[in-house]
Amino acid sequence: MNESRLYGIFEERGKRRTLFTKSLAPGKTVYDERLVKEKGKEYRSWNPEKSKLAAAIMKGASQIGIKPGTSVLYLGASTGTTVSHVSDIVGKDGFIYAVEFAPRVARELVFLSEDRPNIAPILADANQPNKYADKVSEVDVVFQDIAQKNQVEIFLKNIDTYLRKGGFALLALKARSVDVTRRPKQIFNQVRAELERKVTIVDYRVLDPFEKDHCMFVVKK
Amino acid sequence: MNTSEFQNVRKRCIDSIKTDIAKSVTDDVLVSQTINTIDELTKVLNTLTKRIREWYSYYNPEFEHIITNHEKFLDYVENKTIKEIQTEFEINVSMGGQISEANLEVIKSFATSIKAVLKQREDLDKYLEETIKKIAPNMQAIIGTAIAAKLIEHAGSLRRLAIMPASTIQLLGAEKALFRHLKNSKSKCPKFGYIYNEPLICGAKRKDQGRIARVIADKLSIASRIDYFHGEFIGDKLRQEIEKK
Repeated sequence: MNESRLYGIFEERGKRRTLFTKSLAPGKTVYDERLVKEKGKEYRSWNPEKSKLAAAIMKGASQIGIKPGTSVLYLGASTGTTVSHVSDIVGKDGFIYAVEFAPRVARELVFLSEDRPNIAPILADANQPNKYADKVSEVDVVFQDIAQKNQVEIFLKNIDTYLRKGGFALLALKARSVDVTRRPKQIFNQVRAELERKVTIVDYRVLDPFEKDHCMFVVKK
Repeated sequence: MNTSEFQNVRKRCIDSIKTDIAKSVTDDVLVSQTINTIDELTKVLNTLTKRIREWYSYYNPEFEHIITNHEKFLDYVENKTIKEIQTEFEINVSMGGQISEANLEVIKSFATSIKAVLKQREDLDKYLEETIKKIAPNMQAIIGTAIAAKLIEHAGSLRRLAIMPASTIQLLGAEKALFRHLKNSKSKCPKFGYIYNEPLICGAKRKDQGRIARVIADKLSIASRIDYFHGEFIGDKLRQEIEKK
């Protein structure tokens, strides 16, 4: 087990490369990930098929902005698969606001945040950032994984409201929920142009073969 | 913000999300859970009945062949001996093998269990009918309990169904075909989703099916809105309008 090029993320290089994060709540699994003990510390394997952030890293994303101590606004937290790994990375000194709109999946998220002291779960619509202004403060990183038609608009709204100047933001874009009839490549290019008007694009990765018709944008405010 | 300030925020967040989640549980949950349970029970019943028929037929094949009604079949297996059944159905020479009392007992108790599941499904059917009558009487009058429940389940809630345009309601349950059509215009656009099971549609001529589906979806969309806002009952009037057309 070695630390990878990204701070706080570990990897094992055998036939295949596997990503790990150092568990903040040892002894517990969040989904069906593998737990590995090494030198008294516990690591959780990070499956790129289930987490778009892991997929982006596997595809070579060189900067994600998330490291020990950062504060993150996570939009579209769902049951908390990726959130749990982000929580591992930012550690005790960082924290995460995890926003999710669907009550059914938010239940799992609540259980997760009770185990991990650096997650604050919020049940709200990310389309209306002002609705959670009483809870969320300015953050270092905004991460968004929401399969909605206006996902780019939601992303920009939240960056405007909550991201500090110079902070990073990551957008997992699902082409099929923007427009099924058009080719994903076309949509990616259109979104790129849209983003460039407001922020600087640092990195762009297509998530194939882990996630079909998805891509990840890393931008800086 | 430092970490101790964050801890205060986190506590507040956890408290408020818990009450929010508790508040989000509505009557729609009853409908979707019930209809899903009924669907699954139906599947299970088919599998189990097929199995017991296969098993029993080794000892009394002629009877298994004669009785096609599952419920009747289970009744006989549970309550009567093979001999009694054979005399009743005048089966003189049987292809069935010999079975000891103890071995037959196992099959009998299996039959009892399946009948319990059958009863459970009937109870749920009744329960669903009452629930739908309470929350969506107008939709029920137009399209019947089962399809109304399916539509609510698929939309997620009555609220979301009420917001949907009629054209969306018409195609609920046909998403796969719809997206296939949108991506590739060679395949035809579907004309109906769940509402196809309405006798007026599936009994109609091919040519008219699309037209009827559209009319019914229109009226359903009106009905769902009335139901959501607890308006008066005009379901029978809407139904008449459909039948006139």
